[in-house]
Amino acid sequence: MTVEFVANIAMFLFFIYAYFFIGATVPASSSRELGAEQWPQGIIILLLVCIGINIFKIYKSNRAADLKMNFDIIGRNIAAFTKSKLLAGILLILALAFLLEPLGFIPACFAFACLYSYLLGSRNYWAILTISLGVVIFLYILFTGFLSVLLPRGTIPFLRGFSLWLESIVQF
Amino acid sequence: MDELLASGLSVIMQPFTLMLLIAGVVVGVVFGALPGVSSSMAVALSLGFTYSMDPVGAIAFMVAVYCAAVTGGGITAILFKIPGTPSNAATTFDGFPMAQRGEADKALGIALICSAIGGLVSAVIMFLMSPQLIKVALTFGPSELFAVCFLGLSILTCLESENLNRCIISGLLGLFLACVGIDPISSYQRFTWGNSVLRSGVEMIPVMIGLFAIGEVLKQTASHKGIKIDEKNRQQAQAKTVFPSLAEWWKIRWTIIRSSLLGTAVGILPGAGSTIAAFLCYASEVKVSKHPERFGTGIMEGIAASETANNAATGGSMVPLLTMGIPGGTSAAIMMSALTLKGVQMGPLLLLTQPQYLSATFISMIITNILMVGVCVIVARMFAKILSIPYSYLGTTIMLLAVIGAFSTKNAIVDVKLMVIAGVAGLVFSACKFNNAALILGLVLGTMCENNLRRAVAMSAGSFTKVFSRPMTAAIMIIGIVALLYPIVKPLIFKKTTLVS
Repeated sequence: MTVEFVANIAMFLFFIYAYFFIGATVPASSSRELGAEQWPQGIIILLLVCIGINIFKIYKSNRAADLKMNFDIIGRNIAAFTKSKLLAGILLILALAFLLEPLGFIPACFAFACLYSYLLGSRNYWAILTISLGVVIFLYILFTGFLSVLLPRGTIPFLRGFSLWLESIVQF
Repeated sequence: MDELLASGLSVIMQPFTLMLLIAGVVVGVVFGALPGVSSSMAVALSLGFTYSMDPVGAIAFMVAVYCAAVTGGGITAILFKIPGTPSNAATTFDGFPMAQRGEADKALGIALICSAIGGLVSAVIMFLMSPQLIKVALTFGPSELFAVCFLGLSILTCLESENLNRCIISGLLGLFLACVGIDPISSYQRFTWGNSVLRSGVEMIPVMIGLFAIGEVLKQTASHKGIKIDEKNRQQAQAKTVFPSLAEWWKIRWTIIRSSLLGTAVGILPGAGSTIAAFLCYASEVKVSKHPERFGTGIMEGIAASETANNAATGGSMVPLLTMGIPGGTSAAIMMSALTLKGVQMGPLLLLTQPQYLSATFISMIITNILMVGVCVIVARMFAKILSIPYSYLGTTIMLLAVIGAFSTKNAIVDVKLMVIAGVAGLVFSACKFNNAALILGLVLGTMCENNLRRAVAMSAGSFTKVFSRPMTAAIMIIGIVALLYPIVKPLIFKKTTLVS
């Protein structure tokens, strides 16, 4: 509930800023047309009204005292989130997004697949290693070899060389 | 019409295209049947496979995945009371009780054949209606097209009756996101904050994959459970498929006919999808039945209504997509984004400039619905094995497919990053009880809405009265406003009536 309340307040403030931002960055349009700033401003006004109603509903359904209490336990929730599997999952997929370019598809995805399988509860290390490697190689051959979809080769020289060598083998 | 049919057959009946169709059916049935993989996610995950295909191949493959995913979801709904896709939820009401009575094989037979009939009827209606609708759509100006887009957006309030306000906020957020980037009419930069990536706008495909695939796997990661099936129910997964007798079919013929037609009609409404169609048809069958009390106890009519309708809606949702370039649902929106990349011009000009794609879609749907029965019979037998794949490996594979799908859109790492951001945002979005489907609807229809309204206003020299007083525009707008306000006003009227009585 607190997350919802905070997220709605944050959105409300952001859209107030966005309303004035678009007005300031796009030249005012003539009266004979619907300008580039007017359509987004119209949407933002509707959004502010709806978010306002939503905030009021959240506040009404949780008395002020409850909300205060919820804010008190927000610290504990944040502490629990930092130790959660969810945060670990988000960090892993973020790391994959950033490492995909330098490492290339196979090494980055293999590492990701091993760690994510472990995160999702698999504890058989041999199974994790073999299945992750098998899935990554299968997808690589399927997309690069059969479907001619180029996957990231990596920018680190020896990894890039490895990818190019593999591509030369699997191209059909 | 004959020429169109002949051109469709000639392009689809190529050996390679047929192979793609079969592959699409297998992928769709398996994806659809896996709990946690919705038909939208199945279509989103299959995008990666289509980048190297020609447009006809891509159409055939995606249509097959889309139709088969909806049907495949019925298998787990019957055997384990776990709907593979949300549109199969109504199938559990009667499918699972039948399975518990030891009639799983018969329930599967009804579901498969009814699904195929629904799909075939809707495909034929689509083929007959599309050319006529295209002729009408060709007479549309920007104001009428805006009205049609508005009609699509008006479905927002029907997506989730419990959270109307949040659904509207989600749709408006989608419309707002569609404003990001260079304005297509006057070329001003909007909400880019000087960032070159944002200049081309919010890429739809990575956002869709992020919301439907990454967000879903992250949710499963947080819930620590994945897919769990009761050991007693697992034994039912050995079920064979038995098709009911002719007398039994005769008994449910009106249910099938009504659900096919109603399902297709609901599918045609922009924004309404197979889930709404399935529930609506199930509810209307309960109402027209002489024995409504038997629904929910495991009767054939219940399965027939829901399975016929959800697959009929898939064909229906293709009608606004092909004729006006407006997707009938989330899966259709994903398909539209992918096919636009292939140079397929969705909308009224499709019949004039690329008629082979229209007929290819029709023929693909027909063949898919026939093939689907055979594939589902085989897949249903192997279900115990398929569902024994641990989620730790399934979830990871979904993540990898999502990464490939997002990257291959433009061979750009930035799309993978965008996908991850969309996935995490989707998670927060769900925590705030917002609606992902509504966001996608707003994002897809946003640009079309804005461009057409701005053109219409410019053509009428700034007069909104002139824009909305055109007969066709006014008529569609009134329908849209009624559709938008009805779910909001209905509880208020109902409450008042209850109080008075």
